[in-house]
Amino acid sequence: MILRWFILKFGAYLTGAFGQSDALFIARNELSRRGETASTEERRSLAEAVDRQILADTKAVIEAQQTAGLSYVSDPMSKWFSIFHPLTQGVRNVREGPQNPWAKNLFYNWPIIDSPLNQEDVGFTEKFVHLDLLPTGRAAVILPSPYTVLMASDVKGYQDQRSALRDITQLLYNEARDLVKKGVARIQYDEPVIAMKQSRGSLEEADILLLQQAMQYCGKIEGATTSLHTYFGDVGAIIPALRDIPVDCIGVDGTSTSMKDIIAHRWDGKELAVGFLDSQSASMENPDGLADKIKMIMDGATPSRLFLTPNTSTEYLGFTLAMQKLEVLKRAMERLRQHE
Amino acid sequence: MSEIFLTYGTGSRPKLNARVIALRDPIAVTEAHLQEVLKYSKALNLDATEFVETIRRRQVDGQRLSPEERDILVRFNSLLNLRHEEQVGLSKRFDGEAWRPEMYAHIRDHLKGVSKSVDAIRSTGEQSYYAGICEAVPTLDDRLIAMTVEEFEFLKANTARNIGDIKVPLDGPYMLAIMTLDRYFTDTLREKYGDAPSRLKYEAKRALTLAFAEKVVKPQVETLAKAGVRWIQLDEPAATNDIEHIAIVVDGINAVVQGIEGVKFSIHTCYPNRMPFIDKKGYALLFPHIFGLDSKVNHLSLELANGDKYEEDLAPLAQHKSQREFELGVGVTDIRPQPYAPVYNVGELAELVKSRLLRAANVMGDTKGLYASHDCGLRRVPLEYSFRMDEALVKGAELARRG
Repeated sequence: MILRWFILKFGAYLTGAFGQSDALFIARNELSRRGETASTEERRSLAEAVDRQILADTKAVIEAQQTAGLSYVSDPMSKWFSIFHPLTQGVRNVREGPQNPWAKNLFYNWPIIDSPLNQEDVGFTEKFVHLDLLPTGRAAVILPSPYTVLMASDVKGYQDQRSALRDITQLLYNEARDLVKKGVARIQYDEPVIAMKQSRGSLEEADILLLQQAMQYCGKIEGATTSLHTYFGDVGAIIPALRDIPVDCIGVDGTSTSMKDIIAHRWDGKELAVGFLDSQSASMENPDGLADKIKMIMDGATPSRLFLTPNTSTEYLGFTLAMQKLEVLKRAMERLRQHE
Repeated sequence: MSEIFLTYGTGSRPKLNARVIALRDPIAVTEAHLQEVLKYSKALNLDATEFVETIRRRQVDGQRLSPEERDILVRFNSLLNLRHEEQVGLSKRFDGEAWRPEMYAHIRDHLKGVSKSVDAIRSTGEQSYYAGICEAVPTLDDRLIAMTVEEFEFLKANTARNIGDIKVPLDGPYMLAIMTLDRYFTDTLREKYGDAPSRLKYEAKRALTLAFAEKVVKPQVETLAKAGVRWIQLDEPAATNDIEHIAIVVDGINAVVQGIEGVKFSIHTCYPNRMPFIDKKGYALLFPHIFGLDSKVNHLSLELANGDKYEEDLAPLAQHKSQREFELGVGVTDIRPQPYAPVYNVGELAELVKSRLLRAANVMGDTKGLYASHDCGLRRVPLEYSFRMDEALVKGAELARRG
């Protein structure tokens, strides 16, 4: 059965933190509301209730992904507050900076890198995901792309961007290798900044070079496949540059980038993931329409494999709507597999 | 009083613990909660007997509060906040949004065409909120309109000062749009914008914002204008969250204020995008779009203490002063709770307020049109500290006036 996942030309997977459950919100709210005045014993009990709920939600989301037949299965990441959170919590010399908008009504704290990174700080992601619950051979973990970390951080501890990028890349490469040793089959590097800069007209050749430089080093991880997942912007105009980046798969935000631009390029020898499911809209996509689009891309762009995905995290929707999006993904895949 | 560095609160204030808990379950209210109410009442020369007796009565019979009893608690909380703001000497006042459960929920729960999300959705750290899901063109129910008037009439009847000094905050249309998950407009416009997904997102957000402006915010504004409100603050905290959409924010505000006379309008915005990956950031992102704001909107209330970069944050406002000059509500106190923001005593915070106001005046080249305000609503700090922050705001402004 496992072999079958690798021979299918169409696939699907989730690309970020999953919508959180109301039960988790209530448990966290109780801890926050009563925690300050509670006794040590009560506080421990409230904190344990939060942990229990995170575990229950994680199991439910992992099971739902497996039932849906997704190509890769990821942790819902109920413990993290942003793609940078594991870095700021687990890597020395990196701390949380001011609060800033991320998308919609979601905020994050940008990382501040005070001084050179210590390359021994490996294993910072593990605390935020349940590796032991992910299925062998299909476990996917998300790391921020080195270029996005560089651009979205306040870097104080380096004299120039290149030396900072070199160390960030090395750190993320070490982390990816460590995750693969622990059974992870797919590393997804999240790359929103390149898409935002392209969409906003501020992307320069130098940015592409920095991204390429980083991915040359950490784009290939022995024992796993890798994806550079772009979102929050229209990358139509830079598809040729993205296609040349040495990763197995490129993720494109299909809620910002047009079909025409995706199909205008040949993706031979490269995997392509298209985020057609809008993770910030309660509108449910039509599975038949999605299947048609995916077939058109396969015919026109001929990637080695083609994945249907949400454009990014479904946490903007909450658990119930995120589950509905997962159901849409599943039904679209069923249509596609009828044609394989 | 001198007209420079007038002071105001931005919006919310923590509710009395006894009120919050009693609305859920009166039995859970402790003696300490009631003593807290009595302490504040005494300090503000208010009679809390009815408030306390209402809760005690239900503690004895184990029943939930009736709607009338809930109203007693809410009104007392509102009065307490108003009295505090009068006593401490804020120039412009409100009641800490005591009538409203929470700024967005207050509106969401009175919308037709919008349902409440099943799950709470994360916004910052572990904080979450229940989004609305837009299933049809949103409209407001009559109850909310009636409540909006009732809230203002209550303040009007109870203020010991000039009612012209009451500033009413309302959720702005873009804020409502960003906190709502759209289904209706995306579905309606999907076919029209076919293979132009970015355009579809933009147009759906614009349509949702304008619908909120015309069908939800404007009816409240019209009602308040008729009731005699002279200053309305439109809250647009997320104005720069999506920098491609700032024109929509302006269009939404203009649709609200168009045709309304005799009311001063201000916009409150906070936590601007300080890392947007283009060559400008923060409040500079508002330009040039805000040149197009209706001239009735002549005041911007800004969060500034969080970043404490007054020179950098205010520079674009100073730079564009010759093209469009706004009065400014200068955020001089950081409203984030511990451990994100330090806790000060009144004297220390007043000094900080003074220095921040003078820094702002220095950047703007004038004290004219500068108000002292908090960065945002005070809902996340303890009630006691929110009172101290107001005191520091007033004292700090006075120190700044002396120079």
